[in-house]
Amino acid sequence: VSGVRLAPPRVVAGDLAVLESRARALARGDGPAEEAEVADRLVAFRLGGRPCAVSAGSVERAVSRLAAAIAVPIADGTERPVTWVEERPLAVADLAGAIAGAVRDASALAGGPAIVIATPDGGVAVAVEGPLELREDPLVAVAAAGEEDGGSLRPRVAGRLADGTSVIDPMWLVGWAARAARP
Amino acid sequence: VSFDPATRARLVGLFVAEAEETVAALHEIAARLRRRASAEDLSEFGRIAHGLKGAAAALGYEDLGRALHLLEELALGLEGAGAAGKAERNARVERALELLAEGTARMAAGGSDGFPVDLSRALLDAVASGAEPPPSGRPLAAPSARGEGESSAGAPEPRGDVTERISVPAEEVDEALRVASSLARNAAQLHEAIAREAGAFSTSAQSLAHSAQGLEGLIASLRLLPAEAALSGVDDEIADLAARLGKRVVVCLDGRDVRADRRTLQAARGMIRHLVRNAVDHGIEAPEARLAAGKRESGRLSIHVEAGDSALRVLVQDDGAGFDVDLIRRELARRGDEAERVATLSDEEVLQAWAFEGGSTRATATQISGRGLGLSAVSAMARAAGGGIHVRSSRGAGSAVTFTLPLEVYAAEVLTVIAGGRTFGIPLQAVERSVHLAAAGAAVHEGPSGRTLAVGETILPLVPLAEALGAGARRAEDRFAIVVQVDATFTAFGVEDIGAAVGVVPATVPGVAQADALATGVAQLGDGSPVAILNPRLLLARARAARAAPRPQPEPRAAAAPAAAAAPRPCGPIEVVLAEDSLATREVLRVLLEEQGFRVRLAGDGDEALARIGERVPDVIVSDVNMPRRDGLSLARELRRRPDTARLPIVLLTSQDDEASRAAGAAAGADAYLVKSRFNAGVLLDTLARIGVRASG
Repeated sequence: VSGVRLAPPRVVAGDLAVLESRARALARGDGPAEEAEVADRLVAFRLGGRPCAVSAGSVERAVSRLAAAIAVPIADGTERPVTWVEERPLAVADLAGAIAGAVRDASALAGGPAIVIATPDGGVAVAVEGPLELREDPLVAVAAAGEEDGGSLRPRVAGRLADGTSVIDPMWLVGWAARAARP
Repeated sequence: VSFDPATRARLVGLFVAEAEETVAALHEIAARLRRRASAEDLSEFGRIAHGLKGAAAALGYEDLGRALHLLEELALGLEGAGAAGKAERNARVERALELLAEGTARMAAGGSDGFPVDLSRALLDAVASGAEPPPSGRPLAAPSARGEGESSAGAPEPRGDVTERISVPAEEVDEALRVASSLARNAAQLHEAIAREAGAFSTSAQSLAHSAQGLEGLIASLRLLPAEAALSGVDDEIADLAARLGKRVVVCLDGRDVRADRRTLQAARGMIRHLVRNAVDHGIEAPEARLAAGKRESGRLSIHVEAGDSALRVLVQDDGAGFDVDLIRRELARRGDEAERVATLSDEEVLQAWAFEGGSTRATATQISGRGLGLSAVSAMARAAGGGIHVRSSRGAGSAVTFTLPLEVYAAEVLTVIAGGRTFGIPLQAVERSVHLAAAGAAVHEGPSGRTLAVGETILPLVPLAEALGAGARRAEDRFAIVVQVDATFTAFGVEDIGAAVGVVPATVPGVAQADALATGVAQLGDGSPVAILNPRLLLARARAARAAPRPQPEPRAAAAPAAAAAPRPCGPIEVVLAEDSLATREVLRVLLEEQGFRVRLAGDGDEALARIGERVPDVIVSDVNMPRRDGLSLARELRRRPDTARLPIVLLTSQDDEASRAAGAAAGADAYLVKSRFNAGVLLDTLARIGVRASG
């Protein structure tokens, strides 16, 4: 394998499938020559009609159809939606609604797609627009720090794929979901 | 530092009491740390463990002090540890706390001066850096008289048969139970669906449903422990206390095999210990006094534990001197300045009030039952856990205290209700009654401060549940009212419909549905539909807030000719026109109201009241019903007819305690209807506060 220059890995720690795939490529001597060619496994969806994605490593579950959600009343007079994913109750943060400028009622979330992400206070189901897809594409452009996407809410993007898909910064997503899901 | 034996014994007793409280607090923080190792909780854990370490060191419990130091370090290491490291540390912290709890219990039971040596070693094993969690699954150990302070030699005691027993965190059993409950529910639905769709009996689906139910029951049973866990060491403790007090006590324990939830038994153990300490200290007499009273020399103290359908029932009974009900009655009268009311109470009611309000008739608290914990503490603990307490006593013959605790604290019984088109669960223990509003008729009244519902002798605020929750507009007219009570405070909530009382296994959603939130948990009903379980205490707070919020003012009740213009009321205290034909009653009420900061103007009947109001419209009317010339009902109707007094708060006072009278009062437009026989300052002030009238002092 001498002479093969391995780009800094962008694999997700613990993702054995990606590790195996890259190891095999390395063994064959056909590893990527440029950083831009390194593929990341992504969960793709849409927000405000625009293609978006987030690293699969930051997604605990991809849910194509959310179960019925309830609006749980909070002591401050507001409400937070809660749904069940694999029999476990989770707070819901309506990212698609926030992007569109109109966060939806709990009853409108049922049947829609969501990705479950871990936050310091527990899992949150982040409601997005479908369809959900699993992709393995390289980043072709890395966003400058602080670059944000359009819409009412401006998610911070970590980069873009060749087809223009915005790859959302998972740290931003975790922070936003933690704030949106809980009072 | 050396102490004389008596001082040393007292200090050891204080240490044990502090250790019990500390371990309980550490358990709570450790549970939070397992979910998330926040800096605040870590700091609190360290602070509390550090405090106990100092106490241990002061008494010369070196091994225990060292173990607590290591425990502190172990917990602080959670910050920055990886996921696997956290899990391992959390397991060791939990193991250490279990050992601390057991050691403390043994010290309390045996009265020993020193932490048990075998547990000290196990504790050090658990918390030592780099050590693996020690083998768990220790059986419930018999009390050991050998303590750290007495001997450091001796062979380690066997830790039980590790091949047959395992120990798992209770939270994991809770989680397994929740999943099993979901499985059982879904399996039952699947079975029903197959049978319905196929129109045929489905053996496999039925078998699945039965297996799932069996699994749920099996996991639920894993949470259950024999009551031995609550009674272990209690007889030794009683013997020790009796010896120290020079008394003789025969102990009878019954129900060790009764099985109950671990948390229920933990609570029961503390309550039993409070009661037996009080019984030995205050109840059972010294041998010579017993003989002089014609009793056997030895007192008898029995503890009976039994499990009912939904509650663990514990009776602690002694044949001692019993409560001095007369003394308690005088003390209650003195405290509440309500001698007349207290005088009308039966002995049993006095004892119940004593348990509720608490206190001691002893001039000085004794060491044994000191620390301000006694009957009232047990009463508070029982009520806080959703149980109750009942006290009986016969002077000279003894006393019996019975307390109950919910048998299964992992499950909750809730009444499902529909509000704002959504389903909510209200804990059944907080539901006092339900009322069909259409059938309630005149008991429902639209007053100036909102709707009210006459229930019993009081008129309760009636608040739409949807409004209290901020759950949006009602989708249909409220057909029912649910009367919710918390600590003797009642509020009626209007709901669109009432469902069934069901048992659910609630789950929390951190930050959204948790113990201290408006929704304490969420659950799925048998048909899979989700429900939020409401916190009755916060629900009442929300109702008060909803009640206090500005609301659309209703149109005047009648468009009659305006009355002669009344003079504006001067600023200052709340002004009351008090209409009462009895001079004595009027005077009592006047003093009562003035003492509370109200300015009172008097009237001898309804006509005089109208005259006073014509002079100047007050803030509230308090009126007797039966009066000459114009009675209270006529007065209320007349005031409602006049535009300037259409929304004036009216409280009617009467000796007639029946539905018809209350309905008549509500129909006349009164905001509250109080029965004189149960009238006191507190009731009146609470009522005035409920309808939005508060004295300014």
